[in-house]
Amino acid sequence: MEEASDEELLTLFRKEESRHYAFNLIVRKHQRRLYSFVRRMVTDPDETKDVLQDVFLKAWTGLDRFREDAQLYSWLYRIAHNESISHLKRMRRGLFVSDAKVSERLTTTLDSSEHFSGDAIQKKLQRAVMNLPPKQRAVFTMKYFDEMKYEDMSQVTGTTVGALKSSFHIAVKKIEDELAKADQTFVQ
Amino acid sequence: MKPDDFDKELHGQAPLLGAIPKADPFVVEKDFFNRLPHEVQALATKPPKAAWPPWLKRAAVALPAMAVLLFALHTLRPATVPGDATPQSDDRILAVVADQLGTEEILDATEEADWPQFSTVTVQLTPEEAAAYVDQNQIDLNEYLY
Repeated sequence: MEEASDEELLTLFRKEESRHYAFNLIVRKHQRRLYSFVRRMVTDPDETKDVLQDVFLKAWTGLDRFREDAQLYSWLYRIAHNESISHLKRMRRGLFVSDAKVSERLTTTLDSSEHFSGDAIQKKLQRAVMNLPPKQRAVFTMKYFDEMKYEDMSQVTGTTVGALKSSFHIAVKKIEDELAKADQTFVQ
Repeated sequence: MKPDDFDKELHGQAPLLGAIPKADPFVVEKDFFNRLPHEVQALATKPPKAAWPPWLKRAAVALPAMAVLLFALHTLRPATVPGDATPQSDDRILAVVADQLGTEEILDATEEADWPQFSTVTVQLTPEEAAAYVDQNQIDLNEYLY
C-alpha cells in the first residue's frame, strides 16, 4: 500500500471517526526516524522507548493545534528534540550528577552486544558523541547522522543557522580530538 | 550544501571522523515498531486520572505546612520568665516580684517614705476578753512579767 502523505493523514485525523486510525498511521510513518534520533541522544533502549512514547503522547494532544504551514515531520522532530533534552536534564537532576556522569551511565549500553552491534570504531564514535553536551549532541546528530539542512535544524531547535553551524563545527572538533586520543591510547 | 560537499569538507576538517562509515549500530528489540503504535494509542486513549480541584491541591500543601508551623511555634516558644512577663496590671507585676523576693527585701529596696501609712487602732478589751485571748493563744504571761 502506498504511504499516505502528511496532509492526507492530518485530514483523516481531524475527522472524529478516523482520528485513532490516522494517529496510528502517523506513528507508523515517523517512528523509525524519530527513534533513531532519540536513541542516539539517550543511547539506552528503555529510556529511548519512554522518550518516544512521551513524544507521541504530546503529538496526540497537540495535533489539533498543529499549523499546516510547518511540516509534520519537522514538528514531530522538534518535540523529540525537546523531550530528549528535557529527559537528560531530568536524569541529571534526579541523580544529582553532571551531564558527563549521566552520559557515562547511559553509555554502559554500548558494552552490551544485546543492544549495540557496532564494531570498536563505532563504539568509540558513539562514546565521543555522548561526551558532547546534550544540545551540541543534538546538533551533531541532526547534521551528521540525519544529514538535515541547517534551515530545517533551525526550525527544530529554534536557533539561528549561524549558531548551529558554529555548534556543529565545535562538536566535530571535539569528536575528532576524542577519536585521536582513543587512537593514541590504543597504540600505547 | 550538497551531501557530497559536506562529506568532502568533513574529510578535510576531521579525517578520523570522515573515515568512519555511517551506520546505525543500535539494536532494536524484535517487533518494537509493530508494538509501539498500539502502546502509544493505548496510553493516549487511557482516561486521565481524576484531577484534584485546585483549591484541594493548595489545601493539601498549606494545611500540613500550617500544622508544622504551629507545632514549631508552640514547641520553640520560650518558657515564661518574670522578666519577660507582659505586664497586664500593677497587681500582676507586684505578685510576680513578691514571689521572687522576700517581704524584707522589698522593704529594704524601698524608701521608708514610700511605705504605706497605716492608721493607729486602739483595741480595748474587757478583763474577761483579755483572759480568753491569752488562753486561746496560749500566751505565757511570765515572758512579759520578767
